[in-house]
Parts: sequence; structure tokens; C-alpha cells
Amino acid sequence: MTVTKEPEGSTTRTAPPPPRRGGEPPRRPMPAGHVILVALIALFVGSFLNARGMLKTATGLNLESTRREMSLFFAKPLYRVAHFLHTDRPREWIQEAIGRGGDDNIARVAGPSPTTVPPTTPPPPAPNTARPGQPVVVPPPPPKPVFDAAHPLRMYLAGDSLAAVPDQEFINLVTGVHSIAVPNGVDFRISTGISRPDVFDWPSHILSEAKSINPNIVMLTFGANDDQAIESPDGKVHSFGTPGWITEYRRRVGGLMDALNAQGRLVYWIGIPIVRDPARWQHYQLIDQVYSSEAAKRPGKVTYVDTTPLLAGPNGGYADYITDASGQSVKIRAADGIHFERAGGRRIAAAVLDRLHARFDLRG
Amino acid sequence: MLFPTVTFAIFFMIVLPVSWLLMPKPARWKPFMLVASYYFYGYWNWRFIFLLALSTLGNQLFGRLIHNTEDERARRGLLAAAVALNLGVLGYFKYYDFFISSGQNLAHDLGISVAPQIIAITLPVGISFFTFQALSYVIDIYRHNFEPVRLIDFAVYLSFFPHLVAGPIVRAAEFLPQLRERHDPRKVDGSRAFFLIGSGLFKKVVIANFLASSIVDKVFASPGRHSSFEILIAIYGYAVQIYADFSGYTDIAIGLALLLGFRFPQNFDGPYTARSLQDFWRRWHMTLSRWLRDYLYIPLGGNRGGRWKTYRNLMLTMLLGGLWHGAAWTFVVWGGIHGTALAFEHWRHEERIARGLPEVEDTLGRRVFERFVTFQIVCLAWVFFRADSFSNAWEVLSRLFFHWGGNAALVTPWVLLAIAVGIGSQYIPGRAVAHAMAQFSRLSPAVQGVVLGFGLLFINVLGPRGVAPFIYFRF
Repeated sequence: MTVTKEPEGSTTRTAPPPPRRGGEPPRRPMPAGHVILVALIALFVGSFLNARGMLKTATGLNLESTRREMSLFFAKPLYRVAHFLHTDRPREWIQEAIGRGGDDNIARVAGPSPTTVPPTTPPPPAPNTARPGQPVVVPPPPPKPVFDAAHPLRMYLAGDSLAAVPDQEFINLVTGVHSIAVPNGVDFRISTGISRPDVFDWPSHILSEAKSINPNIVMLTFGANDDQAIESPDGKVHSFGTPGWITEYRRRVGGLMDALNAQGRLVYWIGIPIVRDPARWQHYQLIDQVYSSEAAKRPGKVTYVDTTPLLAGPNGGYADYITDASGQSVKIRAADGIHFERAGGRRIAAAVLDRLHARFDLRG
Repeated sequence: MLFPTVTFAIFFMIVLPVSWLLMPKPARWKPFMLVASYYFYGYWNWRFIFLLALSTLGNQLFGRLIHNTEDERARRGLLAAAVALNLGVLGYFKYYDFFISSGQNLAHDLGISVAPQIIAITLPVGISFFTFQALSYVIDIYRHNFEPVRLIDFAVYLSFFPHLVAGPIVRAAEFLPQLRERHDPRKVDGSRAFFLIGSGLFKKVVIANFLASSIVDKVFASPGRHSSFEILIAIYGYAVQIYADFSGYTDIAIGLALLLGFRFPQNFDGPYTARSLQDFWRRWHMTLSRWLRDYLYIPLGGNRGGRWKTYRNLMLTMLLGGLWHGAAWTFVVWGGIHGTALAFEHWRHEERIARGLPEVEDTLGRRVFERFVTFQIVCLAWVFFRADSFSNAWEVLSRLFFHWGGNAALVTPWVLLAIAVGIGSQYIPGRAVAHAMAQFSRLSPAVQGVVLGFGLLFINVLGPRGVAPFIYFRF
């Protein structure tokens, strides 16, 4: 269709109106005011019916944001009225019918606290009893625990969006390795973390899943969304990076490690690698520091995997591409400069697998 | 700002009444809509506003220059410069690291060691869409189909928020005349608009997101762990996911535009009911197909240069159409499969004519067979479209054929139902939909609002938590 030289203000031929097939019943046109009224009623009714979900969404916003305050200002009374009028019931019924009954629950408990773990000091080295000139007798290392197809090393992989690609690549790497079993695949949830149990209560979820899966190793990847304010059990809100934040975050991380150790499981905690944005990387370094220092307090029980050396460029800085062993340039990071392409995830997965081979006798 | 969010609902409920209030005064309405659209776009990343503004100014300048130049050679030169500039910007943002890394790897294979600094450039959302729309404006002016309009009109056209980030690709000739129309506020096609928005939300939030998280993402991430049956259902699942995702977005976009008093062209028309690849491309992403036909295939010569040139033009158009979708060779293969199939259909049709064979009888069996075969070819191409590398695509395809038996835990009744709904809905007669819309339009506003409110409940509660971005945002 061509349209040429139409004078300003004239009515002209444009995109064809919606096709009307022969005999199609005519639609009654609506005045604009009617349209606005219908949209408002729809949003009003929809809000009352979804009030519980809206309260959950508003609660999950950044603790220190005005947006959260404003959202809660509307969402809380809306939920109270909806609950009083029972208009939140249909949502509950549908959720229960499709097996998602707990979707709108808002957890207040911020995970277990660490058990009192005295810093473990490694045993002193055995005195050197060899005479000068004689070779030093090194005692043989203790035998590695053996896992095979009949008794595989069971693993549970969980975390935020950072876990998705590396954990999936880990599963790909161990496909066909019968001495390692990952029965439940990757348990990851985007936009979650340890800082906000009200968004998703990871500690409770992990401990409950671990009980049911009974893994030897729990591999956790967190932190992408944890650079935000946090609420301690006394109800105080601590801004990111403050001493109060570090204490509370450390309590949650250490508490989760201890709770898993108490169930008899080893923990592999994957650190956040260097990211493109320097300001964000500063935040993540603080989070990594909590993970690594908490892991160091639990030698032999918690292993921290530093991922920056695996993904940094030749100069040690952030890199979207790296040159692989075959000399090919491969993209390792996603467009956002935080997450991973598969090649990046594979590097992390391979590093974890190397550590497992070093520690266990994996047969088959 | 994603459509299925509370933030967008608030934004739209402010824009909608103000837009109708200002509509009788275009001198106020246009700046208002421009600011609203730029706010919508800047919500993703405010820096991209400058790119959109520069694209607007640059293309308006070229449009004016071409229009004011009489010498044909100079006009052609200006058009070439405008096309080069648009594609250059698109290429820089979309293909820079792809071509640099591909070149580096090719050099390495040839034994040449080069190590340029490769940086991933953030892709401005919607750049492929507004670049194509701007090109349609400049090319139509060059072809004397159109005269340049005022800068504010062109700026509103290019940035109009319902189509800005993922289409449909609305041409200048389809939109700009509507700016000069008198929009009657007593005659809004509200029932169709609400139907499109509701069905679009359902397709995106419930069908597409559910299939992605339940089977498609898992299978494509680790094909080696899944049986052939799971792979097959995941491929069909992806076919439905991408249809529900993209057509859902454009349904919402068309519905929002209707509420604001504007008509957009249709973008999907039951693509999985197609009986041939040619038919498929008349039904899938129709605005892109038309764009490629009018601004690429026909200028290349179309079917005017004989049989082999037609095949070449079809193949080139589809290869470039593939590359438009993303900077990866897998997209080129996707385009190649479609180009080959289209060329084959042309060849077969011409062979029949050359041999004087009669038309094949149009039986039910034949229709079912043709639809089945077309859908399988489309699905085969989707494997390359979805896979993140060739090795991933080959692994999916090899597992598809050689690992029958074994568990198929991901193939749940809900997954099969979602696929059935996604495909079956395309066979619903248009008359039935029109009848439902007509019935809805006769309800009182209160009842309409309550019906839509319950629709919001079902969409919100059945969809997974969180809002996944639309697939076509990254194109």
C-alpha cells in the first residue's frame, strides 16, 4: 500500500482494520471512558483476587527502597481487606489444586545460626626423626573414600541464577560417570539469595531437600542478589556492607554450613567470579570474603571454590571471551557481565570435578 | 519495563486517560506520547534513549535530503549512506563481537595468530525493530511512496512504546497516516483489545514460561541425559514456547495500541496450521516477512530473473533473516533450512507446471499430511534456533534418533496439555473468536471488568513466579 502527499489534518487510508470475515458478528465499539473504567475495574478486581501474591512481591523488594515502602503501603491494607472478604481464597484454592500451596508464604526466620565451632587448627606436623643424610619418611596419605556405580557419590546442587549454567554443565560433565549421582538435577531460582528469606527461604529449603535426597555433598552457589540490605533476627535492617550486615550474613552462611555438616554432608561453596561492573564486583568481593572465611573455619567439611582465577582474562581482569586450550576464542560470560555462557560454566564445573577427583576415589 | 508487570500497568493507566484527553490537540498529544515512549524505553537503560534519538534525527535528515534531491545518482548515494549507517549501527551493537571472534578463530585455523581485544557490547533492546522501521521510512521516501513528515511525527512513530521493543514491525506508511486521522473517542475497539491483551498474557505467562521451565530449558541444557521421547516433546515444546512468547507479546502490543486508538498490522495467523513453508511465512512474524520481501527479496530481483536466481534470492533473504535474529551461525543455519525448503517448494511447483501435471486433489488426508510435514521441518529448524551452539544442536538431534526407551519424567500430562493448547488454539475458527469478542462487547463495563479481573487471577496464579523476559527482546 502506498500513501503519498496527504495534506495535514486529512483522514487517510492506513493499516487495514481487523479483518471481518463474512457474517462475523459486529462488536460494539466502546467509548474511551468505558475502556478506562473496564481497565480500572479489572485491575481492582485482579488486585483483590491476587492480594496475597502482591503482598509477597512487595515484601520482596529491596528493604531500603522507597518503592518497597510505597508498595507495602498499598499491598498490606489490600491484603487485609481481601482476607477479610475472603477474596484471596480462590487464589489459595487454585494454588493448592496445582500443588503450589506454599507459593505465597513469607518466611520470617533467617536460617539457623552457626553452632559454636571452635576454629580448627591443623594438627602439628610430625617431628622429623630422620637423621641427617637419611631420606625423610613421609607417612602415606590416608586412603581416599571410594565411590562407584553401586555406591555413588550423591550430590545436591542448588543456588540462585549463578548456579544455573555451571551446575548444568557439571551434570553434563558427570553424565556417564557412574560414581557420581545428581538425582535431582539443578535446583536454582532466579532473583533469590540468602539475604532475603521472605523472597525464598533457601536455608529451610536446602535442609529439607538435603534430608530427602540424602546427598554426600551439597554444592551451593549464591550471592548474585545478596548485595542488598538485610534484616537481623532482632528486626534491625542493616545496609549492605555495614558491620551489622557482615555479622548477619556471616551468621546465615555459617549457620547453613553447620546445619548441613551436622546432617553429615560436605559442602562445596562456589564463589562469585569477577564481574564486568567494578562497583558490583566490589560488593561481590565482600560476599566472597564471607564465604571463603566461613569455609576456612570448617576445614575438611566446607570447601570454598574461588572462581575468579577460572574466568579472568590474561591480565587477571574481567573477560567476556577467553582463548581456550585449542587456541579458539570462546565466549564465557553472558551479555549482562555477571552470568555465564556454557563455556564459562564448564570451566567452573571442571574445577569442581577436579577437586572431587583429588579428594575421592571415583571408580567408573 | 515489561508488559506483564505492575509497573507497566501503572504506567499504562496513567498514559491511557491522558492520551485520550490530549488526543484532540495533536500539538500536545505528540510531545506527551514521545516523552511517555522515551520514559518506557529509558526504563531499561537511560543511555539507550540517546541512540533512539540519534537514529530518529539521522533518518529524518536522510529522508529530507533524499526528498529534496532531484539527481537520481545523488539520491541513490544518500539512500546507500542511510542504509549503511543504519546497518552499521545495528552491526556494531549486534554483531561486533560475533564477527571479531569468528574472524579470530578463522585466522587461528589458518595458522595466523591474532588476539584482538574482544568486548561484548550491551545490545540495546529493540534495536533490530526500530532500525528496520526507520529503514522502511527512508526507503519509502526514496521510492516516492512517501513524503517526509515532521520530525515530531517521525519521532513518535519510531518510539511509539507498544511496538518499540519487539514489534510488530509497523511501517511508516501504516502508522504515520494514523497520526493525521481524527480518532473518535466514542469508538474504541475495546473488546478486541482486551481479548488480545488477555490472550497475549496467557500465552506468555502461562504457556511459554511453563514450557520453558518444565522441559525445554532442561532438555536443551543437557540433551545427553534425556531420552528420545523427552527430546521430541522438548522440541515440540519449544515450537509452542516461541510461538506463545512472541505472538503473546505482539498480541499485547496490538491490544495496547488499539486501546490508544491505533491499529497495528497482524503479526501471526495460526502459523502451525501452515501447509507449506511458503504458507508458514505468510503466517509467522508476518510483518518481518513482508519487510524482508519488500526491502530485500524484491530488490534482489525476486522471482524475476529465472529459476536459479529465484532460489538464490530466497536463500539470501532467509540467511539474512536468520542473521537478523542473532549473532550466531546457528541462526544462519535456521535461515538456511527455511531457504532450502522454500526453494524446494518453488522447484517442485515449477516442475509440476513444466510437466503439465494436474493439481493435486485437496483431500483431508493431504491437508493433514502437508501440515504434519511442514510442522516437522519448522521444528527441525527450531532446534538450531534454540541451541546455543552447533554441538548442542547435533547432540539434541542425535539423541532424538538414537535413544528411544528410557525414562521420560519431564513429559508430564501438563506439558502435553500446554503443547496441545498452544497448537490447538491455532485451529480455533476466527468466527468463534469473533463471536466471543462480540458477546463480550455487549456486557456492561462492570461485568467486563470482573471477567478480566478473574482472567488476571488465573494468569497470575498459573504462571511461574517472576517474569521471564520475552525471547524476541534479544533480537
